Amino acid sequence: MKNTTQIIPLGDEALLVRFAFELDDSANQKVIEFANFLKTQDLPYVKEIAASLVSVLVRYDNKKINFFNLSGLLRLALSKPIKTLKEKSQTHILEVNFDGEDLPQVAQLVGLSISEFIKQHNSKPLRVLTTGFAPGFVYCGMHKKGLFVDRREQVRKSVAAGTVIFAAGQSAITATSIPTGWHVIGRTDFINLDISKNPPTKIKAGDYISFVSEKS
Amino acid sequence: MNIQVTRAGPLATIQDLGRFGHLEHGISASGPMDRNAFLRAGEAVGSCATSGIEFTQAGLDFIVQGGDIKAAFFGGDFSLFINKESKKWNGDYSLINGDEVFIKPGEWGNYGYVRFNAEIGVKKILNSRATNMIVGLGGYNGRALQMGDKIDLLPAKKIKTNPIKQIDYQDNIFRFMWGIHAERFSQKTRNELIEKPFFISSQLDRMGVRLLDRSNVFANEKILSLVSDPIVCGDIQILGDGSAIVLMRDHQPTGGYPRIGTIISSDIDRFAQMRANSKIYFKPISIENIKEV
Repeated sequence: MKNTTQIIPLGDEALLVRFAFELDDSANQKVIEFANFLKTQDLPYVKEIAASLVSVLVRYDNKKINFFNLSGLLRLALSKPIKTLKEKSQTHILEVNFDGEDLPQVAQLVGLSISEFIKQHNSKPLRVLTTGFAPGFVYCGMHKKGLFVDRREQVRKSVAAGTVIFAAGQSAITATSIPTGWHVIGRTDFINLDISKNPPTKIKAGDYISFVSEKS
Repeated sequence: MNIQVTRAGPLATIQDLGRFGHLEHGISASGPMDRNAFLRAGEAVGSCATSGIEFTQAGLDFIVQGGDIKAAFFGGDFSLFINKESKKWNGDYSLINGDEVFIKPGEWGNYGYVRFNAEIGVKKILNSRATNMIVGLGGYNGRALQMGDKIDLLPAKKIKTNPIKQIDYQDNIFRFMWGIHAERFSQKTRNELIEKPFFISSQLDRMGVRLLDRSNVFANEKILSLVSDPIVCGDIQILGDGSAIVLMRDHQPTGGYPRIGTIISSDIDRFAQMRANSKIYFKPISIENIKEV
């Protein structure tokens, strides 16, 4: 079990603070908490802080600060106890029409009826693990072990904005049309992207999503 | 006043230095493919305007309407004509109402820039005028310029900028730092990345430049999918089928394919100007030897 946090260069204008090499729930929580903490700090010449699944990207102005000096500041930040920022996380209630074309197959794969699958899928709020894979895109998880399915063999060239997709113990929601190898299980009217607003997205990493079936 | 586009080569877009700070929202920064040329054009017009037009090999033609303006033309090689008279490329000119500007393909390079002593009159989206065509935001209605588009030019204050160093576009050696997954590649592959030539393929755009690996450096690398990590411009990513792609200004924000290295920021501009079939070499540089500070 590696629990040493690494600070590694990513080119000469950015670095990664990496908490794990594989998706791991506690590493992911540390990532979100550390990124949130860094955003409250007055770090010199830092241009962007972005949380990912198991790492935090820190982009900096390399004409003003070098990798080693910035790493020192980050090591110092890592050594401080970081307050859990639970109070900052919101719960979003997401109405979903569970009518995705892969839903029957997914239910079959996990050995449940469609209605039982939906019931278990919606049984507890899921944490938003990360955002940013595509505009407004959110990943949330983890589902209980019984709901794990692999990705599809075929990649769909395009699914619409507002599609709820499912694989690898997670559910994700698209906000633009993207290609995906995940199973399409439903649709929502909520689009997590409004470029006329800043920030342009409402759901952030660390928030919770409570899925509910849309009343028809 | 404005300019009207009378001929648009493919993928001519309005850019500024980029829309930073939105990777978490899934929006990469965009910005000029050759930032150095973009900045030199800005230096030549000497204004506080932040925007300009980027065009690709085929160039761009436009007509000046409703006033006088100073314009600077920089980038890869192009042929410049003002009212059908040939002018030196990489220069700045005073244009008057009715002037016709033709920018035609040149001998080398992929991207050219025109900047004015005026700001381009498009709305800032998320604090930037850069066009991001993946998301369809910024610039001219989030899209590439087309024939007939009228682009407003708004007066901008005169300022003197720091001189921008010219880069050597003939240099085909690109410095890179070993990437976040370098240790997952065999020593042989890592040695060959430095020793063997690579070639630029015809699949190149603002998202990425696919390399031709004629020496089969990556042919036998089989790395399983990795957890997604953030991507930066310049990352050299190896896909499952062994093809190598250098990710550029409109890169996807995160990715799970292994990245063996990252071309350093000062070399990425001239990399963007390499045409298909150009032979290139990679040379490692360590973070200790990055001399910018």
